[in-house]
Amino acid sequence: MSSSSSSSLPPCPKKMITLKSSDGETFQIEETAALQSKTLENMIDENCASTPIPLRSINGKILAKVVEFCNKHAEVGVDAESLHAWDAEFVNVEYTTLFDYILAANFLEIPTLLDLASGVVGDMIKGKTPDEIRKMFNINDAFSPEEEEEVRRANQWAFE
Amino acid sequence: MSSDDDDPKLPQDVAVEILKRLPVRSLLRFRCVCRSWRSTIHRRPSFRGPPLEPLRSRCHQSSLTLPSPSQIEIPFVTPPNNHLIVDSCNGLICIAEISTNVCDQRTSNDYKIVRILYCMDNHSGCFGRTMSPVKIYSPSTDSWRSLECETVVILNGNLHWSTFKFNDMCLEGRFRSIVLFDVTHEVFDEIALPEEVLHIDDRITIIVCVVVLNDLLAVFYSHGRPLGHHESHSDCSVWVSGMVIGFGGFTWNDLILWTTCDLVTVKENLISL
Repeated sequence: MSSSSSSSLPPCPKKMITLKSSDGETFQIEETAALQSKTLENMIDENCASTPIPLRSINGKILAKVVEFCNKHAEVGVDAESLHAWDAEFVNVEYTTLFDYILAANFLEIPTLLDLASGVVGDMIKGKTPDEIRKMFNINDAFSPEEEEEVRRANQWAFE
Repeated sequence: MSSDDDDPKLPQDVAVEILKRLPVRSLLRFRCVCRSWRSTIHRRPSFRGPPLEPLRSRCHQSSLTLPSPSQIEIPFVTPPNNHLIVDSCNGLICIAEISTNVCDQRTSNDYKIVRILYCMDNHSGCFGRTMSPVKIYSPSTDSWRSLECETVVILNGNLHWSTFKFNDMCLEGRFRSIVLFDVTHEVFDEIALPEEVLHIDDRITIIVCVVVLNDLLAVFYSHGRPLGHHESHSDCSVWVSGMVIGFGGFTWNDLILWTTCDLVTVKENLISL
């Protein structure tokens, strides 16, 4: 801090942190934007964010989108309506990608993203049959037909 | 993110994030998806759709505050008008077929439903004798358990009932006390009614209503006129936290409050209506 304070000085450079995806890509993100992630916030608080942070469960394609999401949501002066429209466009993707968003948001603890992506998947699946759900989620520990019938009978009204 | 062909696309704890946002009908259907979904949906009391505003004060069985606009489908196959809303607690609405009275109460991790059956006395036509035993249902065990209980109660509050005791002929009776049911320990307790209520002449019809106001147990009572006496009664309403409790047709004399933490605390006549 050798420079004297003056109003004509350019604003101090934004503090950046570096994230590294599972496939080795690196991404720069402003600390203010990164603070939306509780996981990253903790690392910043504990001074663990000075070197690239490896995120072994998130690939480059998804991490790029997550960084884009955090940047958008850290922007100042965005009105709620246009942010809403932006969000809608952001989640206008295949459900497999939404799953990846949910996993990433869960790992990084980004509640806004988790909420957004989970809500969209919820809307997608709420009218589906158990069989369609099993395919979509790749679930293999299904019941025996007898067991399924029993559970189905207990909740019959939900199938009507 | 690539995943093994045999692995579910989402770990269970992450799938829960999606399930939490689903309506009840979808959740019940998805109990068929697999064992882990069934147990997750079964166990979590939060899986009951968006919470309804808990009903803080209740005076009439058909009053219920819902987020607006709301439409709730009643999943009964019985003809319409054969059921009534019994109570509401933390987003769970209890609906009973007429003839059964049920009250629900959420405990820390589970719901319990307390069922007390009333029967008509064949000889006198009086309504209000309970059929022993009282039964308690718990969704976590999916079973009813019996509870020995001889108390004659009238269901009239959030697990507090004012009891009404008939005389031997079942022609007259009086309010005697408030019965409290401790959901966790499944025991009944009794609180004496205020002296004023206890000492009202037997021949005067009185109405007692137990409600919860600001975490206090409140008793409204009215010494109405004997039946058949057509004196006009003024309508009276009390506003509590934006909700109106209507007491059509009765003049309410006193509002008496107890603290619920200490059920024998001296009563106070705080408001005279």
